[in-house]
Amino acid sequence: MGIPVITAISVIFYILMALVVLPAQWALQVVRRQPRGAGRPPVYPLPVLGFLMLTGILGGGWFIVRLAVLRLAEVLPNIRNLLPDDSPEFMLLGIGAAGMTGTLILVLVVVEVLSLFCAEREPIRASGLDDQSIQQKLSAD
Amino acid sequence: MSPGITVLIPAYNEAESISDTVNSLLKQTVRPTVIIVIDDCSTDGTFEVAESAGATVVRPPKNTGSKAGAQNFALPLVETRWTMAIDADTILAPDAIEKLMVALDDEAVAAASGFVVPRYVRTVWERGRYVEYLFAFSFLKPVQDFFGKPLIASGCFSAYRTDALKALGGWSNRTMTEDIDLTWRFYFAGWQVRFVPNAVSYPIEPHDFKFMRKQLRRWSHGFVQNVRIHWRRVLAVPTLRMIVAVAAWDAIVASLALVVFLPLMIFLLSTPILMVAYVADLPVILAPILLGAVRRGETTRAIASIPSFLVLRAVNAFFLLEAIWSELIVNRPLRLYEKGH
Repeated sequence: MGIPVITAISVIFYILMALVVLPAQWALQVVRRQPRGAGRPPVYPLPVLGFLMLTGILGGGWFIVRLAVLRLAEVLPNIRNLLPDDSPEFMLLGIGAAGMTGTLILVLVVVEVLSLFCAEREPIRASGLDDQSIQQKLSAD
Repeated sequence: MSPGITVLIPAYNEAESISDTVNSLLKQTVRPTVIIVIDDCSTDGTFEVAESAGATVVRPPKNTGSKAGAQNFALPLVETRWTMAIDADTILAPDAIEKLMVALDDEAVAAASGFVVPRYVRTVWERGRYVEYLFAFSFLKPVQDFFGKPLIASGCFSAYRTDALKALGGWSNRTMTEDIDLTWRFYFAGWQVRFVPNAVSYPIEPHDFKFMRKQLRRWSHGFVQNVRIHWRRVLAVPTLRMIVAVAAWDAIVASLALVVFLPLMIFLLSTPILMVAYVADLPVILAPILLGAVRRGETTRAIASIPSFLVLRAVNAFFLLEAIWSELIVNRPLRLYEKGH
């Protein structure tokens, strides 16, 4: 996988970040001004948000740095010596970013699977809520 | 239970800051009914200073050894519907209690915590913490709260439904972070916890490495201890398990990348350019940080503090790894509660 491919992936991540995560954050701010539970629009579940944010952070950040260095290289040609087109250093950064994202997804999947077999549930009665509140809570969940 | 709020302030050698804390409580738009300072056998005159500031001061027969111990000592004295916990170095915005208590109007909510901003932002450690808090309280906490599961109701400024708190036996001192332990136990018992961003508190953060080290050690070990104790019950709470999993991933993988893999690659491959990885995420992290700073009118301060945040992040990563190693691998748990300021 060459630098152009990694760059392309990063651009996609960055676009996702710009199109999805930041508007989602804005939406959260808007929603938070409304009474809780009243007219909440659907939002991306947390794992998706976390995944996009992480890939956006890593891929987008990496892309911006690379772009900045390449731009700088146009003005200061000597810098290009530090950054050949297929620089293994940047390959490593890209692979590292992808690897971190991959481990996060793995962790989230493992946790979901574990929750099916190892979860220890406490009786909801421990909360001291009355029957009506418990019913409301269960409906909300 | 009578209506009203009892504030519990655990204090050990806090003579310098305790009167500011009590005064900020007395100036609230909604004043607490009772202010109890638990002087945990201080040797610097905390008792007298707190008493002259207007608080009711109690003193256990001997030092309880932890913040949770001091708080539990005074919990049986609470007769009001609400209990509030505040650190002895923390002051509140004048309307903080009024705004925080709104969240507790909901009968299903057992605890609520507010926004935290360091009172002083001068040294590299305070600046790092300032940016860390801006990111956490402007972005992470609101997202967690939206999904109904703030990870922690911060111990430095939180309010609780007294009967729910007493039903759980108060604060536990089996971990170094009693606030995480309590928050998660509320979830396990079916209660809700809320984060209230416009209720603002100002604690004094560690100003040098000596104190920061103690605090980071306590927080890192406390998080790992709580995961170790509660992991099976955390798995039963859908959103909480995701949030804890991401936090654990961050503690392990991101810390390893920052503290081990990156330096190793830079050294072995002799490629200093890889150091850009330390700042590669800044463009995006900056978005919520600056958003939070602009809202507070502190943009310049936030920008000037970014380098300190990078330093603190790396140091924090080291202590997280140390905690994981000590608690989970060599089974050498941290038991001694050392104040971080």
